[in-house]
Amino acid sequence: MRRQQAGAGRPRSASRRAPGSRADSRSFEATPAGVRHFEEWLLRSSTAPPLRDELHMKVALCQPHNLPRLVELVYGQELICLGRVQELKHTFERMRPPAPTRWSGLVLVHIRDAELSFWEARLTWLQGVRESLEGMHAEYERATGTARLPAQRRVPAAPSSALARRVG
Amino acid sequence: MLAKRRPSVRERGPFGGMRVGALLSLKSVGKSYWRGDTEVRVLHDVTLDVRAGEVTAVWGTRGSGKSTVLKLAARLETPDSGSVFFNGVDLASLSERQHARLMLEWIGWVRRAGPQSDLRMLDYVALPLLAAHGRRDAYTRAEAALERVGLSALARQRWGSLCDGERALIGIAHGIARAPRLLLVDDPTANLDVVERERVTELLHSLADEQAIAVLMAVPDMPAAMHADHIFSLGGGRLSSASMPPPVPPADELEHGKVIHLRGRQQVL
Repeated sequence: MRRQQAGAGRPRSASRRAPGSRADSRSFEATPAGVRHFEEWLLRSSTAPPLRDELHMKVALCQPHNLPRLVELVYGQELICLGRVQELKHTFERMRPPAPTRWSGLVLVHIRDAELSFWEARLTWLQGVRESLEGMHAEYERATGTARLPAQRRVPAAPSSALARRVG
Repeated sequence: MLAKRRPSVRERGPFGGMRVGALLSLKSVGKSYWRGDTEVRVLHDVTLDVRAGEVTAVWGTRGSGKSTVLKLAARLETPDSGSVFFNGVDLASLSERQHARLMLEWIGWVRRAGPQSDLRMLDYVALPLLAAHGRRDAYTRAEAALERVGLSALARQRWGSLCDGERALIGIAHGIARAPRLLLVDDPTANLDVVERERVTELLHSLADEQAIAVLMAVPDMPAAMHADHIFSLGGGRLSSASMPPPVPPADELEHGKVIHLRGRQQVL
């Protein structure tokens, strides 16, 4: 049975029973096929916002050698956010709102600003994530001696977060 | 028979007459600062075109390098890599004298800070014009600039008596008084409420439109960029716009073993 599961790429049992655990508790480990599948998922483009949980998970689970790819994924999300800002701008221009000195114009500006604040916060977060991922990658390459380009961007921010410690 | 027109002082300068295309171009510009032993790379391979008659906004958080872009545009900073062109001329090739002329005749800078001394606003706006235009002409131009921003009534007021919205408009009058071709604006809407912010950004847009000025402004909040013709985001050293193609291929195009290019490097997935 265990062999069949491994062949199907499913998680396989790593031990019959974890020490000190309940009788029905069992730990599993991923098969090589499962690891390959996970890696492929990690490297795929992330769904556009607002389905952001997928990107959060990829950020949380990334491996040092996946960091360049994840940086590009995050950057792609930044461009999508900018696209939404651009759409919002065009929509507002098409509406030809009255001057904000009038009540109706002022209300529309406030509503537009509320939407903009959302995308602005998202962009700020994405930029921060990208910057720290690039910093982590640079540090990883320095530590492993795998730096390939002498002119590669160096980001000074030291990866001191829990995530950095995990991938380091 | 028409007499041949004598080229103006501006046309006889190092930049010649106006050219078609971008007035200001940053080409693959990189810039770093040192904080102690640490190199802080604020701009990485930044390319940007600013055209006459258009407002270009660069949005970014504090410390993202927005003001550095403005300083590079005026050659108050020099890039570590890449080039900055003004009307087709590489700014690195200018002599000090030519650079001074560029700043006097072509570039207006809108600052948040006001006069250090207790000047009347009309004197403050006229001050940089006195040497080049003489007293009468300088004051005529200053009055016109104040009228354009709608603050003629405050010509005899002092900086200390103005509210933030009025100060922002005085800064713009100061910047446009010399009739520049490029207006650099650093955070024009700081401390302004919604109505004042909309007034200032709409004014910048109409100035660009009516007087064919190229406006490059750095803004820390997105609403201030909404009247711009082009919006860029600056963060982590990269300058991005919505029109840029996404760097990541769609999921269905990704095949195992396919070679993709990541910022100049080849990686086999």
